[in-house]
Amino acid sequence: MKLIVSFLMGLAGLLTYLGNRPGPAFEIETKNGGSFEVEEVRWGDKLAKYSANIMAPVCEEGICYNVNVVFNWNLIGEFIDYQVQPYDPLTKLDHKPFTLADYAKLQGILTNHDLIFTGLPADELVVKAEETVDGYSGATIEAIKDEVIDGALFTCYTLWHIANGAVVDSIRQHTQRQLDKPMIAKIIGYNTASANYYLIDHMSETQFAQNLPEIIGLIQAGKGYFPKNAIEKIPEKLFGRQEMQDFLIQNYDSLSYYTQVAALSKLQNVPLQKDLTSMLLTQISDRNSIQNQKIIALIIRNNDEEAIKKMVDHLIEKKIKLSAANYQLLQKHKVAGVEALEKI
Amino acid sequence: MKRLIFLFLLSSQFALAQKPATVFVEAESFENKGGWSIDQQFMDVMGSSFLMAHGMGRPVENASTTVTFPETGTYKVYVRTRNWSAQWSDKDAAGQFQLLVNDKPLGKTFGKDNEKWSWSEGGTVKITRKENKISLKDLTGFNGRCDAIIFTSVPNFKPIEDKERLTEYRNAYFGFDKNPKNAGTFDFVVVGGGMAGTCSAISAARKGIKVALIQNRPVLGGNNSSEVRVHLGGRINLEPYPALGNLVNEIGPSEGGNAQPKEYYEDDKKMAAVLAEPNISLFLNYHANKVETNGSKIEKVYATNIETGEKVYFEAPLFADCTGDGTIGFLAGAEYMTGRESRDVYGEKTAPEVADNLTMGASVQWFSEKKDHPVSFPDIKWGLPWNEAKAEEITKGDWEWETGMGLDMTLDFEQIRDYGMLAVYSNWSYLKNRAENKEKFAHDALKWVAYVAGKRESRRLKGDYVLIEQDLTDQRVYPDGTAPTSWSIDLHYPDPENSKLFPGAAFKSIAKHIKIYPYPIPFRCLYSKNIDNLMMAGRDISVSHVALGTVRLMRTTGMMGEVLGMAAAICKEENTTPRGLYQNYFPKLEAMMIEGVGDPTLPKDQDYNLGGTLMEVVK
Ligand SMILES: Cc1cc2nc3c(=O)[nH]c(=O)nc-3n(C[C@H](O)[C@H](O)[C@H](O)COP(=O)(O)OP(=O)(O)OC[C@H]3O[C@@H](n4cnc5c(N)ncnc54)[C@H](O)[C@@H]3O)c2cc1C
Repeated sequence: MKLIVSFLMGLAGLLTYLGNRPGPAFEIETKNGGSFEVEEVRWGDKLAKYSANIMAPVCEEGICYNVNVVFNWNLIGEFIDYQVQPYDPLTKLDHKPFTLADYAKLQGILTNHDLIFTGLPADELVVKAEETVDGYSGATIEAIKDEVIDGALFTCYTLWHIANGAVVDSIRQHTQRQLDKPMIAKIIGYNTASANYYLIDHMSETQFAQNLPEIIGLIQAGKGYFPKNAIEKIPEKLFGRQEMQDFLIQNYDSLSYYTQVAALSKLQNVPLQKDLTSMLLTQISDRNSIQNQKIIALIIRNNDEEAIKKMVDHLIEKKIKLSAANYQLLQKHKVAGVEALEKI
Repeated sequence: MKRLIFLFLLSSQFALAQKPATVFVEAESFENKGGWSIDQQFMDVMGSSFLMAHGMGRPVENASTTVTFPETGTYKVYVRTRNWSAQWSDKDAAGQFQLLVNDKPLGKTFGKDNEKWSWSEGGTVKITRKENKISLKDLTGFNGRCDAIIFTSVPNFKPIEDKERLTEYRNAYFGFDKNPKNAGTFDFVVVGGGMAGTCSAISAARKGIKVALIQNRPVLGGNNSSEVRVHLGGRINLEPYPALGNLVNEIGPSEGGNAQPKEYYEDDKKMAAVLAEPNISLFLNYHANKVETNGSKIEKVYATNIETGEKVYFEAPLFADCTGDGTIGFLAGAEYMTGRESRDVYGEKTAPEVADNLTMGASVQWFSEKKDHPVSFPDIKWGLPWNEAKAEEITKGDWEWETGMGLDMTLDFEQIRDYGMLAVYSNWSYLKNRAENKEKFAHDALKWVAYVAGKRESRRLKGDYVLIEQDLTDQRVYPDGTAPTSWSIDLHYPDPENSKLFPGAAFKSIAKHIKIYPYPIPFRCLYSKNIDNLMMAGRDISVSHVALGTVRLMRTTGMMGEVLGMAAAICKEENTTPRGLYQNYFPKLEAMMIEGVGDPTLPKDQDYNLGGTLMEVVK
């Protein structure tokens, strides 16, 4: 039932698509010498997705036919879905038409990046004559049988490589060239790690500045190394902003160690608000770490006599060691008691 | 007159009689090895390296040497050898050979007598001149092996069978033990030249300290060398230290694949990288086998040359055990773990209810090539019983030809390696001679069968921390994280199908995977808990059996090596131990890990066999 619904929805999509036929954005050349045009699909004046009409020759065991499908990608080049032309269904070996289950499986294949067969060269997908007992060749190799649609191996293979091939980078660049606040909002709305990474890897300095609260939101919700990577990508200047420092004051403890270190590196050359230095002072730990040294350096550079004094007392009390560079900095500042500290 | 003649005869006979003498010849020291290979893999167990005729079914070229006898005369001959196939078959021995004296064979055929290493009597030989050519003539091409030869004219001479006493005898005979040479004084001695050891040495050298690298084979690379032919796996350049792995990228082969032609493994690339470092003294063909400690510190490591038997020692304030087997730690009395921990030890989901000795196995990989003419292969009688059900109709044995799970990867290793080879030969002989489909294999010839077996697991040395499954699956990341491990937790078990056909003696395995996110291995897993100046990198670090499932990959062990080299430089600079570094100087290591030690500008070609990692995104 579900399958039928999604198939009908696919058809509905196709009809809308045919209704608002947009102009071509760019052209992609395929490996076999063919090409297709990628078009922008807009809802009103907003870029909604990319789309292309694909005509590709595919041969299954010597019998060839032209696949005719419409592909859709989102703004960061991820394949969304496909539609077939009502008059031109996909077929398998011996021109047997795809079943509904086959259409659903194809959708699963085209969006999967964890398949074995997509990583193999085309000539390794089938058993070679010399490897078989009876000289019979062309059978799908055992390791990938379950991954593909029986009788449509090369349809799956060809379409996967079109959906996830050169077009991806082209779309990503095309999007970057026209990236604006509404598009950024839309990409944030995808709510996936790859979308978040797309943003931090492609936004300009100005865009970071204009969307800082949103990016901070992503960091707060981010998993794995995203928070660290995002902090490394945010232009240093923006770490001087109140909202960034407020964020750090409130969330420092919940960031991973490596994210904390990345944030401290970014703070080295911006003025710090008092609350931030006070918070950081409490983060100097008994465990010898690069984090300690970065905090110490920050507090010295920030030139707040009171904070420095407090820190030195703390270091002496807890017997925390100083890097050679920090030791020198403190000496330059002529802070009393420095001699009592040990160098790393 | 009669009496005079008699006296003359007596005295002349007296003058001609030889002074009793014994001549001891080490086979591995033969000047010309011909087609024989030096095998040192079991020397800690059976006492010596030896020569082996690894001809894959074709007799190899003779090995020969010149031996000077003190006296001419008649000598009794003994050869230390064994009948290796007798462990599994009472049919004619697999590895047979003759001993030739001045190109004339003795009447005896060797390699048939004893299942275990021991001296075979070879009859007597008349030696008529001082310089004599002694040769080994392989008769079968199936791994006949010769450790040593004794010629003796001492009445009632009995060659020593006991391993320890034999070693003493040898040392006394060649004078090795009296004055082992000082190989030099170093800042850091790295034992084992696999990816882990090679990267440790290069990294330390680039950080400016004097390093000795000891490797018991003629090539570097360990499992990634052309002797074992395992390709690198896992990912480099990962968070939180994206610069780690640049050295692995520098020396790693640019093409992947297990059991491929020799060139794939680019032995020369690793060698050239080591030779380019003026701070490294490279000791190839030296097997480290003795450690001297003072309290909880290693003072000296001794090593024996696998060809000449010469002994040397190394002094340093800091050592690295990159042997894979944890041999240096073991010899120094370091705490270690083996087998599988039970579930309650660390609360690991994947651990068995009850602890056992099931380690992952070792592999003898192999492949064949197609010729344009039919090629024969001996129809061996000493193989495992084979039939259509057992026949594997394939032309290559990859990683899953794995055996010895449950045996001891150090003490039983000759048996494990030999069983691995036996399985290959048994299958191939069947395919070539008896299989229903034998025509299909008529043009196929065995091209390569490993004789240096690849290991996955033996001893794991205990550190200040033992990495466990939950650390990896729950991403419990510690601030002393170092090289990130990224391969799935990939644990191997005997293949159920193969186990049915070969009960208790499977030679094939299956792998079960649990995917993880890249995870930085804590520094506390890279140094010994109770030996103060011992670090480790490779598959012998401080991890549970389950966690070894991911960390043993060679791009990961190479990155551990990068970290060890940095740590060694800091230990020297601060005159501290690895634990001291962790406690007091860790920021220095963090800074070095951020910077990296390899060339960051080289093209990144380590893109094969990355493994199924739970990456956050495909960027
Ligand atoms: C068949 C097989 C397939 C595998 N597949 C992969 C894969 O695809 N990718 C991957 O990355 N890993 C794979 N592994 C795992 C990996 O190869 C091992 O975990 C490897 O041992 C890790 O490297 P290492 O440097 O710790 O040890 P090794 O490569 O074992 O190196 C240790 C070196 O030290 C030398 N040595 C040992 N003792 C002494 C001594 N006493 N004195 C001097 N020298 C000594 C040895 O000869 C050896 O050269 C596989 C292993 C096997 C066996």
